[in-house]
Amino acid sequence: MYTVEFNYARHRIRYVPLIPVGLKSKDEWVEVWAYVDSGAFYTIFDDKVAELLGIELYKGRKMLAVVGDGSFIPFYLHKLQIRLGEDEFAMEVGFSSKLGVGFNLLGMNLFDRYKVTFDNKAKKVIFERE
Amino acid sequence: MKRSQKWITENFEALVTRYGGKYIAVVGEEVVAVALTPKEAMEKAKRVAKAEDISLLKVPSEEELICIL
Repeated sequence: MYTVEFNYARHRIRYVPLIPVGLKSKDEWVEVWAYVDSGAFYTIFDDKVAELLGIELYKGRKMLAVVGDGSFIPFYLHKLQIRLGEDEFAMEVGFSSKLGVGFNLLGMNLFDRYKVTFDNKAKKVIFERE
Repeated sequence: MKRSQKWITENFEALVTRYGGKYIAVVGEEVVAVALTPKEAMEKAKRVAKAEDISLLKVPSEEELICIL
């Protein structure tokens, strides 16, 4: 069993599940923070993160995501190495220039590997796996 | 846990107030670079720290936080 947990960040009266993940570029790991979003199917980062990692955005698989107002935004899926706590694995990560929210997002395709608990009473998010 | 992780979580509100809408690079308990892109923030931060010690955060603005929550 492996467990890693992250305390929520606080903003005024609200608490935000914002956590660091490692993303592998060509020759090094980069730690980038993202919002754990159970309402997002895919993990999607700002396209500027793709630039940082040396990824050619438009070589990825083009997908569309529905956003809050019902419109669609394009994003491009790339398979890359990701690190959560001490876990390292390959996962599809989307990048978009139209993300339009203040955070990078960790979506449900990350959750497939873990039992994820949003412990709002303790103000932490917990990832567990066998 | 890296020292920067605890510090970012505990100081998030102040970071939003000061750096909302920008990317910041944090090493330990210090913001070492501020930029509009993560690449620029990382390049600035690498002048003072090793890559593995740098944490990059896209800091939401106050307005974005209200909208997402």
